[in-house]
Amino acid sequence: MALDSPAPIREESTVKPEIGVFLCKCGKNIGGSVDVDSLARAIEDLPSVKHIQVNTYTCSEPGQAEIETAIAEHKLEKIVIAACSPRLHSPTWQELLRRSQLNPAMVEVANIREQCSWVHLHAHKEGTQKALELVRMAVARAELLQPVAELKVPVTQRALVVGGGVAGIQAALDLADDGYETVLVEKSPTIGGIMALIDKTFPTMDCSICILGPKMADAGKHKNIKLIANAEVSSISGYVGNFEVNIRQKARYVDETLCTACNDCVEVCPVDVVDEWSGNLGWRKAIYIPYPQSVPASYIIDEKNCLGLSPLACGKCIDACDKKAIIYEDRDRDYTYKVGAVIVAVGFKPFDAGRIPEYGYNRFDNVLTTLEFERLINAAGPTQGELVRPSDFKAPERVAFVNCVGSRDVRFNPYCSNFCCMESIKNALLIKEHWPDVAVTIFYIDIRAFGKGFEELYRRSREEGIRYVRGRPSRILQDPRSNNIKVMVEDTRSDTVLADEYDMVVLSVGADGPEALPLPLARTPEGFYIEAHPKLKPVDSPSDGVFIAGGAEAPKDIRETVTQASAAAGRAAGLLLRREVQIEPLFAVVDTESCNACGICATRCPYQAISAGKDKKTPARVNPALCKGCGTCAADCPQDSIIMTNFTDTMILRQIDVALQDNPAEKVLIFACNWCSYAGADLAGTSRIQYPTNTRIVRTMCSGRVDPDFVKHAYNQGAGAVMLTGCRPQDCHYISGNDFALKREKKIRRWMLKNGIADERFLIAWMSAAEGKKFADTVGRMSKIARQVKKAAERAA
Amino acid sequence: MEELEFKEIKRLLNVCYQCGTCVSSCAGGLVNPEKNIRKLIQNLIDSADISELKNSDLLWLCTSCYQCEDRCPEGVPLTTLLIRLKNMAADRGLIPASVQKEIDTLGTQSFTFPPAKSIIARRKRLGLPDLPRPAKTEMDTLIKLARTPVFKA
Repeated sequence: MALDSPAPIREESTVKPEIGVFLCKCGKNIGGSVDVDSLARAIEDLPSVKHIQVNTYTCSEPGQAEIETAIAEHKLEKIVIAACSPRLHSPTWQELLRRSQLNPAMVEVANIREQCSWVHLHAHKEGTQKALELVRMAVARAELLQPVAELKVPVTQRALVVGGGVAGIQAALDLADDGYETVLVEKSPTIGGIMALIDKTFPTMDCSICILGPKMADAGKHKNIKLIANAEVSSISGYVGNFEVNIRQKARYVDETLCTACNDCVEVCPVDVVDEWSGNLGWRKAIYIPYPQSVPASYIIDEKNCLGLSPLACGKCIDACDKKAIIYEDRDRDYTYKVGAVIVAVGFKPFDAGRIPEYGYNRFDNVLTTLEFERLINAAGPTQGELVRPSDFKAPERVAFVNCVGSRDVRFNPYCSNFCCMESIKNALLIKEHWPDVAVTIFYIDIRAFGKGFEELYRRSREEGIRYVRGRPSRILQDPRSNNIKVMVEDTRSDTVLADEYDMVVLSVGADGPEALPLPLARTPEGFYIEAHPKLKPVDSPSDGVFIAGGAEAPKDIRETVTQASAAAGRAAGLLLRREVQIEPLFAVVDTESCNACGICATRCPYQAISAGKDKKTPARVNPALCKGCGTCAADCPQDSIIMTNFTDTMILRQIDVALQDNPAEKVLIFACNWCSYAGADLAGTSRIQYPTNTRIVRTMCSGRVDPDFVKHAYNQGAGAVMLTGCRPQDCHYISGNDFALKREKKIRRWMLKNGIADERFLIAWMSAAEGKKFADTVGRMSKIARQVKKAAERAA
Repeated sequence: MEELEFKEIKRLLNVCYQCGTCVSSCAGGLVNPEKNIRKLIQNLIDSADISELKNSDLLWLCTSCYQCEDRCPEGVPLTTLLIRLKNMAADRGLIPASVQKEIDTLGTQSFTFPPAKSIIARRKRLGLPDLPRPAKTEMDTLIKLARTPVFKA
């Protein structure tokens, strides 16, 4: 692999006619709002354009064939596609160029669908004008495109699965069965996740641990699985096929390989601790095993509650252990692995019902969550499956379930949790099965029984006499004397307010997103990982080689989680199978002549791809295999000596020039990063969220690429407003690019002040790929400011 | 203008999924169980113009306690919208007789609920000062303002 930096190319605009422009109508998707034929006429005068063609569906097989024919016939060197987002079909166009014996970098896409026709559905004239300018911007950029050598790198034949719930277990087993060594990392002392704590599963009423237990055991002893429990991933670096993972395993104080789970230690331990593994409804010791089916099947000492981890302080368990498995001197351990693929299966976090004060959770003993209820009726739970209420251990006669707790609620999580309807119905049926005389009520807004066998279970529950009340409780109260629970709710079927009493109320909680992993992956505002494409790449993440499965992606039930886990494992195995992978030819190149070896670039690089300037003499060097092409180094290079392949300063400045050629004062120039805000703008498009037409987007790989000079240039060209947008803090695809972008704000604003540009004309906004509405709202606000700038300028003139 | 205002209110109400949280939170509804704020929302969404308001006593029973607005899972600013609707109804003269009487009392006596004679007598007996009253002119201005339609074009 020759990975030496190629010679830098100082580009000049080539105006020789070599570009073919292909304008897509996308049926009515573009053609319905933008006059595509007039676009074709309007660009005829561009000197670099040799051929122009309008297609109804450019991406279709005949559409592609027409492009291939045109390339051969007109000897085209480069193509501009004016169609949908480059995030959607870029690989298609690159493959087309390879087939035509052209370098795959020789394509530029003008996004006239997601960022024009779909967001300006009714503004035909202005939309067509904007589309024209987008095409002109693309042509300007295409003129400067340079061929790039493609890089191939080997793929490490090992996978990492983060999270040992049912998703992680399934994915690890699939990969291991395919013969790939798999490292499975679990945060808790045992794998099994939420599924292991559930009593029965809907709609089949299978015993949850009975179907999961064997899989847990398999994962624990599979020859290809290295299980590291009680551990967290502390860092992941590298790139597709070549990740390096650091894992920190917390001390267990019990040797997993020696422990036989005989229980002798537990019998002598003098410390009682509230048991989080029984929904905080029971007790455990300071040395404990979460539940009998735990994997690894080994005890663990809870160091916070143990009397001192020293024979002087207590030492009873050490004396009781015949196998000598207890080690007070145990310490945290670090592991490092090289892996080719990563599967993120960290699951969701159950919603904290305490956040809804009017429901009284945490204040009232007899108000439980579904997960606590699961432990309560579980034969392995704190009451051995006896249904009693926590305040007085009496068997309840009236039980109510409240659906949508923390879900479908814009104050908490706007989305449906996907499983809480069926969870309540299943639990209500479990009560009826064992205690048919208990009166069970379910409060619901809508019942969503969409899955296989769900509606049947819903019907069965009604046949069994479960009472359904359509209404969302506004308040839950506990009588201090009887400890009975009063639920204030409107029965919307009869328009009456009910204030009935129950012995116990179960809140059917939804799901929050997981805590962030040390991985630069985009997440929704709620913390869920965003897939590469919601329909066509549902288990791929936007980062090559990283896949997503289960509750980490969105709230989902067990069946869907397992489906996704196997899909992710299949995608990962497909990558490992190839043994060699092509990486995107995007990297920085240093002009060694002008580089003054200051070393700033090396401090900007989150991948240690740049070796520079330690002696302040040797010019910087970039390792193109490590470089991911964010361009943060180039933006902060005081000498402008770093050239970003196909995202050069000249290219971006030219795009700005063209974007602001006409009516600059009324325009908002938006710098958008490829991974989050550009994708957010695309989502505004696919969601048809309308925003003003005076908006022009310049795409960079990262917000870190945006040199303050670009912003200044835009104002010098007369831009009404400028926006710098990128991933939400901590979600940056390049780890720290947006941090460095933010650090430039002061400098930019100081320059604006000096040049008499009002502060409000510049905005930095972070948004995820899921925030199409936020994108539209934010650019809408800036659009008003730009229009005011124009009016003010007109008044002055 | 009024039409635009009504359209805007309908747009804000249209996200309502009729869960009834507002109804069991409603203080006005608790004393008058036949008055149902959720159904008022549904009727407003379904109605072509604000004539629906003339049937709505419930509007005037709202105590502005904001419980419905704070608890609404769909973020409907219900109390705020009810205040806007009251203004619109007033502009059209759709004020119930009881509320009109309150306004008149305020104008003539500077109180919505004037103190009873017995209370005034007791204050005197206890040596308490007379209850303060704003100047008549101030009250007149207030009433005049209140009778000026807010949404006059």
